[in-house]
Amino acid sequence: MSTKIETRDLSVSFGDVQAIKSISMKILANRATAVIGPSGCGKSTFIKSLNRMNELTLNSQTTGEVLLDGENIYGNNYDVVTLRKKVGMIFQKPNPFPKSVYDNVAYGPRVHGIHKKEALDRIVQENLKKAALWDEVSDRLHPSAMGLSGGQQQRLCIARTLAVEPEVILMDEPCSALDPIATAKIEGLMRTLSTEYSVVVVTHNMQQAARVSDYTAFLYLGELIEYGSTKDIFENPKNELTEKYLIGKFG
Amino acid sequence: MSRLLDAGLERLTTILLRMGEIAEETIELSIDGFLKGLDVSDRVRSLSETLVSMSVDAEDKAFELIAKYQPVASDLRIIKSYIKIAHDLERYGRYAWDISFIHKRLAQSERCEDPLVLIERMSGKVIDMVHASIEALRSHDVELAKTLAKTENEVDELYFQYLDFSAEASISTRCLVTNVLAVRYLERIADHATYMGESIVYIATGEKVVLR
Amino acid sequence: MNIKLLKQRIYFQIFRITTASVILFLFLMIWTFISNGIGVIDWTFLTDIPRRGMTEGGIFPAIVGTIYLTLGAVAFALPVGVASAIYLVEYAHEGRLLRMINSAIINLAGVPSIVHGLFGFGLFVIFLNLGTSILSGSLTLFLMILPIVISASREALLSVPKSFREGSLALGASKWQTIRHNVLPYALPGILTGTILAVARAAGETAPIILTAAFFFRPTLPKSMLDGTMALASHIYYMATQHPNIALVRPLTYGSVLVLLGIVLSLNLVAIVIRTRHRRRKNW
Repeated sequence: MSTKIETRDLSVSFGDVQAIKSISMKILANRATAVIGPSGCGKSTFIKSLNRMNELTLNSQTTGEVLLDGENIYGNNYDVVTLRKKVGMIFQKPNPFPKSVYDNVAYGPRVHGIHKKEALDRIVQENLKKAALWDEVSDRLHPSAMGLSGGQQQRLCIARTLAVEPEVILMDEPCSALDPIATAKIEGLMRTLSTEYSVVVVTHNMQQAARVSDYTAFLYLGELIEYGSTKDIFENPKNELTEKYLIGKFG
Repeated sequence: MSRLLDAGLERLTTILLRMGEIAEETIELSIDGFLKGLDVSDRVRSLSETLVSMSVDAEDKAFELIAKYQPVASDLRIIKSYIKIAHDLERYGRYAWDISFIHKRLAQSERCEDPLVLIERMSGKVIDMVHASIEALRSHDVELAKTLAKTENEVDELYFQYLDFSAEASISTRCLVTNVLAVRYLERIADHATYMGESIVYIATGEKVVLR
Repeated sequence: MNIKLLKQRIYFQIFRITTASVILFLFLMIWTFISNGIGVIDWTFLTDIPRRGMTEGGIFPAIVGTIYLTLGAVAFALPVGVASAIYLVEYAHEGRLLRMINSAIINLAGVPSIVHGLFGFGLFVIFLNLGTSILSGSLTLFLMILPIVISASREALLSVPKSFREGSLALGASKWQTIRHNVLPYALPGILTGTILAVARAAGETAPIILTAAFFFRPTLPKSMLDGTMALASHIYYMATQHPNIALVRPLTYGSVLVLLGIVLSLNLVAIVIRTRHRRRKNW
């Protein structure tokens, strides 16, 4: 079981506000890792720092290291564009582009230089299948993606991310805007995808974390409180704070 | 901060503690009748049946809580353990009934000899263990639960001694068989007391220990 | 009757009347020009050169001149304006400098047209020695309409949701790729609308072109960018105030006004249609 991403003393602040403090943890390859914690604990900031999307926010300052396959992604020579190809992200609110379903999935490959129709056709079909969406859209690839339901849109975003052949898939509360059936489908995807990719999921739904992940990290007020196998954390957490959060005795 | 789960947990706990009281009464009554040569079988049977139906209630309640609230961490450990404990308490009643039954059936509820006073001593310790287990349940007292290990050893000792004695003894066959079966049942009661102790340690610390 | 209800009714009527009077003025204006000028409009008027001291003939050179001047202005304003807007929205860092730049653009939009004209005269005609020419005129108009193009483009770019950019960047696209493929295409209708409005504005400006590009009488068409030209706005000014026989040529003046109005109003209409269609079809 190898480490895919390792953070060392990772801290992120926005202006005067410190969002995450000195987080050190190892995310394993080909596993699903959940990040849980109460609102405002820094989980979104944490996951965004894994593909340097936190740099899009003004006044963000990141210290510490994030090693992807041993290389520090915040190092001087590290190409952010290649990083984001390797480390994809699914957002909380599905954000399909107002293009056709086909063009949504083909967007990434085109941006990376693939223009031949046969190649794109194959990529689109393959990744829509991986995202469990092919059956529902195979006959409507060219109408706009905006006509899809919320759950379909989110799966489209997953297909779109898969199309650039990432190694890590980050998901920032991907089911918050979806109904239970759509959520169940995405959760199923999280499991199947985690065999081939390294999946990191931020969720405010503890049961979801318990259902889909192999490892769970609990964050509170920007700090990593506990990190371990999901079974251990949910059956017998070592930290009192973790216990309180899990059984709902916070606040 | 009181959670929706808390009311359910309280009701479940109440069922178990009531079961504990009844179990204590059942065992004491059954052993008393056995040592003194009295027929208490009807009363013991009725108490035992109450324990059976209460354990079904407890199990139902536990599953209802699981379905509704998806408990985790300490809540999950408590509910998981309570299901086992309900079974242990039901077993207390069952073995108490077994003792009364065999006493009546084979020995016509008469007083059987106990020259080495093994059975009396053994049943005394077993009753102590039962009390301890139920008290530990009431207060989630880990230390008290752990003492059951020591007493269990002593009970086992007496059990083996009686078995050895019975191989050579020259008392009536009826009493012999009755006594052997009775000490067997007593030993089983002691075992269940230690199981309860283990569950209580697990609830409080998350550790899975063996108290035997 | 309830006093509250009465007051409400009175206010409502006041607002109604105010709006109606504004529309009334507009129609009055248009009606005046149409009724006085429509008689003059015919094929000759639109395609012939002015004759007999501009008392007869047509205004073709003026129409052509206006077209050249506005096309020239847009040729500069569109790329510069859109590029500036892209820089300001996508690349510039938040801060005092950015706020100052945005403020400067708004102020540039507020500069009176005569000042633009004088500035153009000093810089392009005299200092850069371009003389009275289409080039001078176009450059002056370019400075005038640049703020319009920048503002409209800025609005259009800002109206593209942040999530499009985030989604694209998260797929490993560079910033420029993101802008080019996932932001600009959706901002285009807004940019186009703004540009058309800028063109309409340029077509109607008088002071700047009088000082930098326009001749009152030039029967021949301009041969190059360095040539001066007639133009509709300046022609109207001349015919209404400078002509030796104003009363005689009044119908021709009205006719010219009608042509200019026609051009400007149709451009505005096109812009509105594009904007409405875009809004309706917008599915994000």
